[in-house]
Amino acid sequence: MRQLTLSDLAQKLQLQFHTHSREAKEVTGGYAGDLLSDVMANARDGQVWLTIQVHENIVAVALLTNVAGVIITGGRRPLPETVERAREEGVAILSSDLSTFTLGGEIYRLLEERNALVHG
Amino acid sequence: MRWFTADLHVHTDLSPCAKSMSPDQVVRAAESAGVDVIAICDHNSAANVAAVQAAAAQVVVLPGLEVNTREEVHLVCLFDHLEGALALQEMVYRELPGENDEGIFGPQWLYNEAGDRIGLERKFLAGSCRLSMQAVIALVNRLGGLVIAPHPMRTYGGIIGVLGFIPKDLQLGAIEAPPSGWPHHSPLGEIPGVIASDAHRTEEIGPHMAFYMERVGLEEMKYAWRGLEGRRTHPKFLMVKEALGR
Ligand SMILES: [Zn+2]
Ligand SMILES: [Zn+2]
Repeated sequence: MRQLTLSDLAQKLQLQFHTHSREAKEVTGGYAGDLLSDVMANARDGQVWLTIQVHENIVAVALLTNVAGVIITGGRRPLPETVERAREEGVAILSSDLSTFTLGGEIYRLLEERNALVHG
Repeated sequence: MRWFTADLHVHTDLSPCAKSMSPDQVVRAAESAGVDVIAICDHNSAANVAAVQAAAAQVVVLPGLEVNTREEVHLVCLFDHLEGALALQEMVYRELPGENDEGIFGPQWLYNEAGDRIGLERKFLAGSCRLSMQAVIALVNRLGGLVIAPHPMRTYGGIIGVLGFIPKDLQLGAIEAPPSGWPHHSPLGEIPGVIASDAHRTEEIGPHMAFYMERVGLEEMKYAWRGLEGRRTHPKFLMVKEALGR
């Protein structure tokens, strides 16, 4: 397994898909944050973004940063208008019952394993 | 003295998230809903206030802007005169990075006093400025304005949602009551409550609260909140007090 996709993460970490992205992107890393200005400045193409924000604005931030997907943590779920906008724009929104810290740790571990396979 | 109905938090098409909110549409919606006073507060800008004032026939338009602080807390900043709002806008613009991407955030329409669209604001009005809450409040107070903390419980832009509490030394003029009332431990203290629409669509504008006062003005409103000199607020305000359990 060379590439890690959102579906891989969803399967391994029991994430729930609320919307799917237009094209399935490789997940290359992650960023965690709830201040949108910080995420806009620092999240990168191909990362998954972990946040507790559920508001519609997360879709715009995801488009701007070109992240592979947004994962809402801590058992929160996206608002209906967020789901609607994300579906229109083809932005993947997922959710997890894990906290940002725990989920981030799990994703980090999966990325490290993938890297070991690629380089080993 | 008489009753003035008010909606102290209304956007226009300058806010990228607002729709069909030209000055004319805003004024007509307010006047047909029986609102005597509206406060125009677009995100980080007061650039359409003059156009709404020019469009107004009966409704009194208070100038304002909804500043997004560095903590990502929204603060509705109101003034008696346009000059105050524009002075604050100038300071906010200086500390507001980035350019708007219309395709992602939406267009930011500017209007002239004749009601025509004259162009698009380029600044990234949906973003947060580099000024702290304390700095914004100090600037507004120095300019003779009033600060209201809107949608306090929201984790995006709400003072309690973002910070978890209201810092003790913060000189807030008032705080919007969430529609669902307050959680058990109210953070409100002695800060007066406001019920306002945060309208991004015309149908949301309405007479959400009322002030009994001599004339429209921030000083009069402050008296009304405190029940001084015969001024008072509409019973709807009492719902805020009831929700507080006192
Ligand atoms: Zn707001
Ligand atoms: Zn607002």
